[in-house]
Amino acid sequence: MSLVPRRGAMLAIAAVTWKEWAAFRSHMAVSLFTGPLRFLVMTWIWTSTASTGSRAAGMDVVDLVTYSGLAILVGYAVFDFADWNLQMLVRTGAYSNHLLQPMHHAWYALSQKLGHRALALLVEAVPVWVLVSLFLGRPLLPHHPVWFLLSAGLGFLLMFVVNYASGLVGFWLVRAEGVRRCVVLVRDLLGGAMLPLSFFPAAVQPLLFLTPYPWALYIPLRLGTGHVEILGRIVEPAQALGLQALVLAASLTGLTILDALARRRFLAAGG
Amino acid sequence: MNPLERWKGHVALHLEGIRLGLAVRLSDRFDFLASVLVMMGIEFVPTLVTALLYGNGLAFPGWTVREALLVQAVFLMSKGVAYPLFGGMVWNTAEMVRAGTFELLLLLPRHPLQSSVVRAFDAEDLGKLMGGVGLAVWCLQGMELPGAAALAGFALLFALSVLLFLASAVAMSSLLIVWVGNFRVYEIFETMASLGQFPPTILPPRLRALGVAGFPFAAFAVLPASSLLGRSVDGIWTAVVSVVVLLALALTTWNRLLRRLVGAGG
Repeated sequence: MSLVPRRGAMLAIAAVTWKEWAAFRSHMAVSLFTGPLRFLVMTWIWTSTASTGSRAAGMDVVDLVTYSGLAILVGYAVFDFADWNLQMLVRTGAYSNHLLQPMHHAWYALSQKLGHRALALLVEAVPVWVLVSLFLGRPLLPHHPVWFLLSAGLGFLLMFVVNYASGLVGFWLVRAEGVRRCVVLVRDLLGGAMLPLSFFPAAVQPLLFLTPYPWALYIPLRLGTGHVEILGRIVEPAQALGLQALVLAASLTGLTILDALARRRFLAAGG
Repeated sequence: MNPLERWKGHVALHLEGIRLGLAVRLSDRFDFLASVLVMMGIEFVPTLVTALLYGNGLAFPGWTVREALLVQAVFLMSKGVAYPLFGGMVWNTAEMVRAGTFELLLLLPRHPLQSSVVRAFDAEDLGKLMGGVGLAVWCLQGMELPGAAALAGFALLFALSVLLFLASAVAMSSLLIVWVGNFRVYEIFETMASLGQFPPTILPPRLRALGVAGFPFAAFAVLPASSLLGRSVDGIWTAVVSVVVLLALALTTWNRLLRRLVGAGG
């Protein structure tokens, strides 16, 4: 796992994934409809419930609208289905092919995510950004653009590590679709994809930050809307990124241990 | 065969479909239980959003929190009836067309659309119904209980809502006959339906008009819930006409697109 593969090999896998999914570009293009509509629904909710100038959970209407727009875009950036893919490989036994390859499957899957997300940038994120900006009447731009992009980059890696780790559950439960969907549900909710986490009751918030999801999604989103607030405390951008990096390192350690345990359980049965 | 016998045959077929659907899911009880809970949990996301908004001092203009949540409860109940019965049709069509097994339905002695509904029963979506009923009971507490006329109105509008779900499921399946393996049609539908999960006061007026004519998303929950709450609503009849037209359109499209089925596979 610690062996880093050649960059050329990773890029080649990413390029092949791009080609493979470009055939399904019409599936990705569904986002051109759903993305702006989701944004509009949230915008209507914010503008009708909060009067101009009033603040809720430390944010005003403009912040909240920006937050909802960025949440959709960062969602596209960090999304992957490494968990689903890994479980499919285990269930069908096709995982054994990867055991024979000179690259650990996690690196292979990360390269796939790179290719897949690069295509999504072109087909989903950029057009949706244009549409959302048109609705807003101004370009949707994050505050602290550099910190925002760096933080979203960490979110990209963290989301992959966490999804891959939850995919490893497939080694214990062969039919893990129910568990997977549980994870998808909490992922969006705890990550802050629906609402800023500052809307949750104060007693619940510390529990949210104990999960990895806010660190992948909520931190870049709050950087983009102005300032990061964790449990009511304002955190500097550099500190926020440092914390994100710490969570990433901890998750990576967890993944390495879990992966070693999971591989011993693989039976290569299938069907 | 006389009409009664034929009718009995159809009912027996659908009951058998339900029995089989249950048996398949009970082969892995842990996965089934987890799925029931998740299917219920996913649906509570708008509820949680609404509750958190009200908890932070925001409010949908003119609606109390219980009234707003009742809209979502009714949406859940209707979905909890519609999805177990024919929601799976969409998923099955996508899977079968992709795998090249949809043609097998054409060999069966019933209309392929019926065969596709019979195979669709999925008990995990009953979680939505349970969740919806629970939420509705909570919402109605402390409110004046609706009278007989309101209840009858609710029952009729609830049936209209289930019909709208049926029309949507048929429309989605027909799309999937030609748009191979695109599971994201669910997402298109759910995003459109989400317009009907919140009180209509959040929407711009022109869109509110579209909610009862055209794609009548208000019929999903806003109309039946308003009947329970004794709120007046405009455009019930246009909504009824729209739903019937949509269902007819969906059935026609399904039959037309079936002719364009090209067995994918592998």
